[in-house]
Parts: sequence; structure tokens; C-alpha cells
Amino acid sequence: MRVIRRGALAAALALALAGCGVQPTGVIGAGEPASGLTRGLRLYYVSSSGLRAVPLIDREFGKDFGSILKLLFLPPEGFVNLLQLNGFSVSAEGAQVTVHIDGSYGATGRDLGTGQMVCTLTSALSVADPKVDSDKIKITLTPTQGPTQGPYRCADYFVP
Amino acid sequence: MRRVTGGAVLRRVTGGAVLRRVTGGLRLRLVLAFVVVALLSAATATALAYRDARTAVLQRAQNATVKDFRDQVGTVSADFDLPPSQKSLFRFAAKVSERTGGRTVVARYRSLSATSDTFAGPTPWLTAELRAAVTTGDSAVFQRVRWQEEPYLVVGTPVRYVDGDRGASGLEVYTLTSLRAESADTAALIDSVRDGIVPVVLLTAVLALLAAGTVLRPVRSLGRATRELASGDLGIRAEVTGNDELADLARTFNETADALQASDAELREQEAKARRFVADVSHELRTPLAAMTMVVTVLEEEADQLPPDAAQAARTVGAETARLARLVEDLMEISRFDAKAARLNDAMTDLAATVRSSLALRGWTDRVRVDLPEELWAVVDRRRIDVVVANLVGNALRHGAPPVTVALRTCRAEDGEWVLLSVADRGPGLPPEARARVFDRFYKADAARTRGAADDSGQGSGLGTAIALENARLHGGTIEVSDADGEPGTVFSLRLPLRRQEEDPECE
Repeated sequence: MRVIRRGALAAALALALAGCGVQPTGVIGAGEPASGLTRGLRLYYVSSSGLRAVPLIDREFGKDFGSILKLLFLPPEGFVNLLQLNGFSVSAEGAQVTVHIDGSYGATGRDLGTGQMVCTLTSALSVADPKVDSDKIKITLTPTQGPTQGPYRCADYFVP
Repeated sequence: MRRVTGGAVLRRVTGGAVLRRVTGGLRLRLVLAFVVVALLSAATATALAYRDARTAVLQRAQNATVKDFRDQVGTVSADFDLPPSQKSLFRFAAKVSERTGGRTVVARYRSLSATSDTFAGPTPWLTAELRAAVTTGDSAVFQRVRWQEEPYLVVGTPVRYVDGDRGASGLEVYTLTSLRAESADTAALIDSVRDGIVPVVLLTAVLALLAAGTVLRPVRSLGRATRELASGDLGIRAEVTGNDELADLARTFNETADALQASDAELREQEAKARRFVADVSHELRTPLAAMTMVVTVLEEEADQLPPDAAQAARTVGAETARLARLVEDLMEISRFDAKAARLNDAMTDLAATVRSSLALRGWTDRVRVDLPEELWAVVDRRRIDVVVANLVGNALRHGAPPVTVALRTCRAEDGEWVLLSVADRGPGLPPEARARVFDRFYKADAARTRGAADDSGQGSGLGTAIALENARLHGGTIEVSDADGEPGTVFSLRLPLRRQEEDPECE
């Protein structure tokens, strides 16, 4: 009798084990939330993992897009600048931004250097004019020598 | 008698042993107990190990997933503008998904919601409680769910601004991670235990059998010794091995057997002495009896010339002397049986003729009805059969009532053919207690069967039926006493195995 009882206990244990898998739980806290959103202007540089945004805090540029682009040539620690421009000026109208380039533009337009410029200008325009839908902002390059390039959108440079 | 009982005991015990060997007994109980203990300990150890392993594996997976997710969401958020459009929210989710190894990612901003996996349908794995915790709380949370029969880990986090007041943004991100690998890892533990349990159980069974053997071997040998002892071999001794309780038991058994053997020997010796005494006395009595018989014969011949009283006395002395002589003869016969000195002197005999001559010799032919088939031959000791017939018929004539019938027939039983010689009378019958004792020595039958001093047929040493029974046994037969079916009277039946002359054994 005792043997049978013990056997039943063992069987129950084995069953309990067999029925054990990964059980559902309630909601469990897991510490810090994610943070990374920035307010204001973002400058884009190149890092080992592609384009990276670096927030520029507490500086007001207004619509001085040229000065903003110049900041790209001074990458902070750990970032690289791949943008090559001789002389240039930037004009914006609505969601359209045009970069006038002296001489020819050496890059294809699909490169990370161009991505830096396009995304930085997109960020600058959406900060300067919050009513503009940042998805619709397009950047066109008009070198004095060579064909017009673009329009480019920042999102295109993040598509895998 | 003892031997027969011993045989019965032996059979009963062996039957029990065979049954036990089938259903187990001590051996099965031990094996079961060992196996159960092994299973229990294995199960307990497995349960504990499994629980800890599962906790560890899941915790590692959860922590890694949460950390990676938090980092990637932070990285991708760096160039994400709020408020998002449906499109940019989808792009955001896709980017996070791509960076976290293609997991399904859901991003929500207020009423907008985007799923990285465009083919995924609704997201039932995203429970209301998890969403509520992310929306109202300020920390990353996770929840394990079962979805489509598979375990999943859902991690959700609100996204905070990295600059300024580091406030909440209203952006929430969730990801779905399959826990199938972790589940399989922990299940593998169970599988390996299950694979290992069979050898363990076999090993414990072997150990249990060994343990049972150490107990059962001495018990068996003790049982065997006991059976031998019961069947009459008082010289048997159990083997004493070791120094445990079973050895004590064997020692005790041996002491008991010693005592039994000693008292048995003593009893036998006393019995033999008593028998020798009886035989000696009978033998010693013969010489004076022979002399007395001669004297008494002379006296009886002279009785007619004696005065009446003296004549009466002389006749009485003659009769009693004759009885004494018969008693002494019977005593010597019984002594021979007791001393196992009685020998069968058997030959092919016509049984009907033997019975007839027995009756004729004693002048009973007219007083007895016979039913004797002719040509019934068997191998018997003619003299002893004559003694039996004389005794049974004499008893019937003396104590029963006529008609006395002697019948001879053969019958076939399971153990061969038997000769049945029955002597029936129409007397008052024997009461049951007398029937049981009618073959005892010197058992004088009851008041119901007439016997008195007036009966001067000179019979009745008190040993007649005992001698008859011994004679029957010597032939391998017996004498039974029973009622005459529904009628008054008693039937004595002599049963003898019907042995015909041994033929030359021929193999056919």
C-alpha cells in the first residue's frame, strides 16, 4: 500500500515535470526605459554602424542652413565626416531644400557623405519650420558643373 | 503417519512458495521499494535542477533581450522626429526590428501604431496589462506569454528624451521574442534524465535483488530445513552464516531441532524398551503356559471323575488357559509388527478358495452367506489373509447379528485396481466413537455389541482387529468400517491392492 502511494507520488511528480515548460507570467519590471529621442537640431556623422545622429543642444541657428552644414566638417570624438564640398550655399522653400555647389559634386548621391548632408538639412528644416512634415522634405543638389542630383530624402539613407 | 503429514505440509508450503515466486513476496516488495526510492530521488533532483536551470536560462534570455532592445531603441530613436507620421513610425519599427535580429517590433505613438512585420496580422500577444504598464509607467517591462502553442517573451518600453528634462515622449516600443530555444534547452534536461532513468532503475532493481537474496537465501534454506524436519528427518540442521538476526534464527532452529531430536530419540528408546519388554514377557510366558496347558488338559480329561464344583473349576481353568495362550500368541504377533519384523510371505492365491477354507476351518460355512467370484487370483500372503478373514467374520458372528455376509469383488480406482473383501452383519451397528477406536489394541467394543463372560467361545484377546489391520497394511491395504447402507449393521471392508503375478517386463 505504501509502495503504491509512493509510486503515485513519484508519477505525479514526473507528470508535473513533464507538464512544466516555460510558463506565462504577469508583467514584470525590467529597469530603465529606453531613451534616445532628441529635441532640436541633429547633425549626422558617420560611425562604424552607418549614419549616426548627434543632437546639437542649446544652439539656435534659425534658417542659417549654411552654418549648420559647416558644423559637419568638425566631427565630434568617435565620428567621421565623409562629406566633401568646396563652396556652397543653401536655399529652402516649403519642403524643398536646394544646395548650390561650386564646381562639380564628386559623390554619387547614394553615399554616406551625401546622406550626412541630406539628413542634417532635413533635421534643420523641420526644427526651423515645425509645420513641415519631415517625411516630405526633399534635398536637391545643383552643382555648377555637372547634372542636378536628387531630390533626396533622409529616409532613403536608412533603408537597409 | 508422520511421514504422510509431512508430505502434506511439504506440498502446501511448496504451493505457497510457487505462488509467491510468481506474485513476488519479499523479493518483489524489496525491488519495488528500491525502484520507487530511486525514482523519487531522481524525480526530486530533476525537479529542483530543472527549476533552477529554467530560471537561470530564462533570466539570462530576458535580461539579454531587454538590454539589447533598450540599446537598439535608444540608437534608432536618436534620429527620430516626434510627432511621427504613420510612415516614419513604420520605418522606426522596421529599423529597430532590423537591428534586433529581425524580431517583430511594434511602435506606438498615441493613436498611431506600426508593426515592423508587414505580413503579421493582429498582435494578440501584446496584452492590455503590458500596454497599460508601459503607457502609465516609466520603466521597461516584460511579460512571458503563450502564443500559438509556443512560449514568447514580450518586452515593452516607453522612450524618453535623452536631452532636456528627460521626460516621457509618448512613444512606446514593443518586441516579440520566441523562447522556443530556452524551452528546448530546459526540456533537454528532462530528456536526459528520462534517458538516464532506465539504467538507474535497472541498477536499483539489481541491487534490490542482491539485497533480497541476502535475506531470502537464509530464509529459504531455513524453510527447506523446516520442511525436512516436518517430514521426519530430525537430523537436518540449518546453515548458520554471518552474525545477523537470520543467523540467530538459524541457530535457534538448530537448537530446537537438537532438543526435538534428543526427545525423539529418548521416546523411541523408551518405546523400543517397552516393546522388547512385551516381547520378552510373551516369550517368557510361553514355557509356563505350555506346562499349564498340559496340566489343564489332563485336568479336563479327568473332570468327569471330579466332584461337580471341582469339575467346573477345571473346565474354567482350561478355558482361561486357552485364552491366555491365545493372548500371548497375539501379543507376540503384535510385537513382531511393532518391531517391523513381520514379513509378507506372498504368492499367487485364489482368494475365493482362501476365504472358503478359512470359514470351513472354523466351522462357519453354514453360518455365513458368501458372494465369492471364482478365479480371482492375487498375490497375497495366504496365512495373513486367513487371519484377517477369521477375525472379521468371528467378530461379526460374535458381536453382530445374522445374516453375516462375506463378499469379494474388485474395483478400479485412480491408483490402480483393488480387491474389496467386505464382511457385513445385521447387528445394531457401531456408534461413531467406537468406529474410530475399533482397531485400537485392547479396545473392548461397547455394550451394544454383546460380549460377556457368558460368551465362552474363548475369543477376544482384544488384539484381533489390531492384528487384522496390521496384516492389511503389510499388504499395502487397509480395513475400513462403515454403516451398512441405510440398514442396521456394520460393514468391515478389507481393501487390498490387486497385484497379479508380475509379468516379464517387456518394452512394447
